[in-house]
Amino acid sequence: MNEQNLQDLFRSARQDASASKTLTDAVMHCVDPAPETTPAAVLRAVARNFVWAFAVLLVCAAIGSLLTQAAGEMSAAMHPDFPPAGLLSQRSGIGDVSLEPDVVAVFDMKPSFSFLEILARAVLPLSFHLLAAWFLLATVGISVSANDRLEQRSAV
Amino acid sequence: MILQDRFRSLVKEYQGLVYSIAFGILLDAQDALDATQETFTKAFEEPRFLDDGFNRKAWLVRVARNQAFNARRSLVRRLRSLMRYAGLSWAAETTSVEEEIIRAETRQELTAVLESLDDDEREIIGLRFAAELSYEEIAAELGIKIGTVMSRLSRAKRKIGMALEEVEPS
Repeated sequence: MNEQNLQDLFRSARQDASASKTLTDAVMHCVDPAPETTPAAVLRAVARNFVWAFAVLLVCAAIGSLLTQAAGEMSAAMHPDFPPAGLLSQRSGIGDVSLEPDVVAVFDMKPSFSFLEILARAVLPLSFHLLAAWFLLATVGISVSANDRLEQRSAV
Repeated sequence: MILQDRFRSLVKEYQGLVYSIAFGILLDAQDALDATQETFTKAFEEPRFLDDGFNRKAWLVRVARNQAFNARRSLVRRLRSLMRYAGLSWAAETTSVEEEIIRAETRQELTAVLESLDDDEREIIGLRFAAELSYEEIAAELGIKIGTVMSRLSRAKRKIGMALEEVEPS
């Protein structure tokens, strides 16, 4: 291969790319304005976004609620006697503030929570609720179209 | 809409230049298309781009090179290459694009010639042959001396020649 061959190869590539309507369309697609920018179209787009976001919100909230419920049941199964019944009966008396030594001993036996349990009880349900809220906030919105930016620039 | 039409006509005028520079560096049709899109998106946002006295070619060459090198470093590109290497296709990849923008034989020949070069050599070959810049323009573009341009070009050309000599017997 000599210099002329390489020149011809690049020239051929340039000519092909220059003539490619696919390339022009792909480029213009990145900078073209939205086809409809009338108020009605914008409202329709917002409503569509809202419906979509609300559906995701409901799904996430439902998953979060299910997880919360499951976490409660799991907690009850793992710690059936917490808080101790004895402590509750002692404290049910009106004005009774002194606890027996054995009851104090029971009170001091704090249940230990494993990492997985904390994850299941708090982090997962909460994260689904947060995800739902974030999605709702993030999805409903309107971006300024490229055409508007171009018009603003031409006005300047 | 007049500005939109004007921009489209400029895209048509320079898309071949930008795409061939990007392809010369990336050697991948889809990546070159992405870099071309990024370049023209930046052009669209550049207030001087539609001005008559603006040196569009020099500006586009610089931005196209930068976009191509950014794409080379991007995580998405590496992931895409990895998936392709593993025999998996990329969901957003459009094979028809590869077929339509540059003819297959031209693409294959260019790839065969340039894949033996490193990034710097591919860049300088692209500037010389795709952008058709003079030695002085290349030196100004890269911020190096003309002598360095000539020696790099000569090394790249020698490498291409050697690569072809090795392939030719088979």
